[in-house]
Amino acid sequence: MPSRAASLSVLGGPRSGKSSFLGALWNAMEVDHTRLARVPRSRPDDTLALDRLASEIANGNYPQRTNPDERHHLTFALELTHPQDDHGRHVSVLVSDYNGEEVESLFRYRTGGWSEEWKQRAMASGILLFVRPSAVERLPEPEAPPPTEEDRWRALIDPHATKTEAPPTTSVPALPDAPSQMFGAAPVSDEDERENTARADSPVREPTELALIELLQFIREVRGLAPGERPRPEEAFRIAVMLSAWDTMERDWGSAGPKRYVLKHLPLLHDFLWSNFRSDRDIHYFGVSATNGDLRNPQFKSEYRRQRGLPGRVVWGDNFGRLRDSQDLSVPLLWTLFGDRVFDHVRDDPR
Amino acid sequence: MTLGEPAEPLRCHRDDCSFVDGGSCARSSEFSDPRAGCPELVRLENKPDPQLLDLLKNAKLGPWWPDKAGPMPGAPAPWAGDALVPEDIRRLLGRSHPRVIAVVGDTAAGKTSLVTSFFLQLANGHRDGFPYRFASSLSLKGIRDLVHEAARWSGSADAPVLPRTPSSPGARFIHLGLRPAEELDDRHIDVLISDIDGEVMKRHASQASDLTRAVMSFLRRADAVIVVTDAGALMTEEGVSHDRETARVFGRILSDLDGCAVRPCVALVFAKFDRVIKTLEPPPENRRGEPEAWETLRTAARATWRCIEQARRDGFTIAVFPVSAFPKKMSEGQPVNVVAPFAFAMRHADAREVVGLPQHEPASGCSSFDALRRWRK
Repeated sequence: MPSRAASLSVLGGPRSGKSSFLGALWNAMEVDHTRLARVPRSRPDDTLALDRLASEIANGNYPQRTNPDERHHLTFALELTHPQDDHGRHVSVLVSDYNGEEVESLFRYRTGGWSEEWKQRAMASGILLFVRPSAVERLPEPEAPPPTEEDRWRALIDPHATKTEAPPTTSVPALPDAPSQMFGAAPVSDEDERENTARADSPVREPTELALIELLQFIREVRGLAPGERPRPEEAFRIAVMLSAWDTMERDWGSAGPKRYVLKHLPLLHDFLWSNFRSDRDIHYFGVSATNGDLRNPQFKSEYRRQRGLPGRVVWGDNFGRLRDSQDLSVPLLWTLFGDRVFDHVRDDPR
Repeated sequence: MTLGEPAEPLRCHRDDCSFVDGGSCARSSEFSDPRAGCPELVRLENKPDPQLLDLLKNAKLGPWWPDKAGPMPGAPAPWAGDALVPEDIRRLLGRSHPRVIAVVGDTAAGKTSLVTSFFLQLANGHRDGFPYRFASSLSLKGIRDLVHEAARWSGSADAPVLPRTPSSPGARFIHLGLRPAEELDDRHIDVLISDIDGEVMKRHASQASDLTRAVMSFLRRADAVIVVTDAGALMTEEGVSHDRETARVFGRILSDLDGCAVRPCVALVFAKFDRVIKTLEPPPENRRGEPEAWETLRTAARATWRCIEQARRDGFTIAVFPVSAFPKKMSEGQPVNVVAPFAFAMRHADAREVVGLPQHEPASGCSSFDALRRWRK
């Protein structure tokens, strides 16, 4: 069976979880915690960078970057195992990793830094875009009914006039009733994409995603895409939006899912992706937990090491609006390569 | 080994360290005082001059840490990311029919604050009925600088929210790319919002020269003119001076637009309305175009209202808005009505018949629908 080469870019700011995910994924592939792909019997010659990341994770430590200028060119050699025409096919995926602070430096220092390396990353087959939700300052819950202009002026005259019982800031918007249990939760609809309408005394949040959006604009520029131009099928490349440390979000967002989270708390990024890509083909949102717990917690770390590494977790919404949940960390990577058909072969792992 | 002072704000090489965010050091078992002992913290190269440290503490630093690396090797970024200058504009003109919104007014009227607050509403998903979604911007770096400055404002009425717009030899614009929220409308609309120092406008108003005319020449291409006047300043004893300056700028603009076949709409914005709200209620929306509905502001902005009446007689479409871009610190409350003037401007721009665009023959392999879409832009 012919093998296939592909390249993926892993993008994200500092501490967004890129290296942890890559290490956990390789670790998972080595111990068969992934079902769609595994490490081929004939290992690639050079897996040192991946082995190092995986070893750190296996030992219960988040990978460290000892040298800020260190570059990783990681080759994931995959043997696909899902039962379809690709079964047994080898895919070699080159992943280019870098210091997350470069994203900020690229944004600030415009006179240099847009290297050939970055331009090559721009031409990758797909992108894994990492965002750490716990680092995002959350937007307040919208007010219902939405305040009028008059309400807002009145609030400036008498702030106490608006001190009605506010909904909690971590509550999740209620999902519309599903017509049937069979179909699960309703998909994110236009109604869900209604605007947030803040209370008069709600804070205005400084958007934190501008550097990432600018990087995506640079990438589109290299690929010859005009602003607002949604790629034609022959130009398309997929972006997996990876919300890292998703286990820390479960309590508040477990039932709503990663897409709704981005819609609510990263509206500028959501609008940018909606405006510039085909949402039904090019973008997918994943909640990812590389270790399914916090390795900084001594008890969890001890249990993690004792178990020789616990499986990670991936959560995503499918085309029917159902939230899927799997221990197979390879799902987002394979989605960027093969698209939605990958989901047909994923087995959910109930908690 | 004595370690240097940690750089502020704190920054750590370890991904799993939360000390920089107020949590615990990843190597806390090794050091009783991570600030003093942990080698993973980014530290200043040499022990700094205490006076320099004081200066750095008081200086307006951004939320991002001082980057030792500085500019990196490699080609320049595809664009500068700040306010656009004429060369950038020419690039845009080649691909679309951009909407041009002129934001004018006296110095410190609140022009840049209005634009910054408008962007923040889009960024926070509070479009307030504005029928467009964010699609792109060539000015993200400049916008972020403005947003960051606004976030640092103390909330005091005695301190400006933003530093004064720097003077520049030509007109500068903030760029936003917007996409209609309607799913089936796949246009990308470039919007250029002027960002010009009030002093330049005042000079143009009172002493027009070739230089000032060159800066303001974009006005004849504008789809909308937003005249910003400081409601709080108008209601003070010194307000007469502000009213006169605003009227002079406004009057000069009307004069510059004389003879224009296609007129921009005009939005008069009473900015910083939070400073007068306790004594003056905004009139209902359907009466905001009537000077008498504004009570004391009718007198306080007499000269400005006169310009409004002149503009009406000249056939301009007019609307008046009370606005508060930053009534409080960003962390303490929302703006009021900042989106409305821009929604008005875009509605007017969308309704205008675009004249003089060449017919596009569908290129080979390009559908006629695609060609029509590009023409409509």
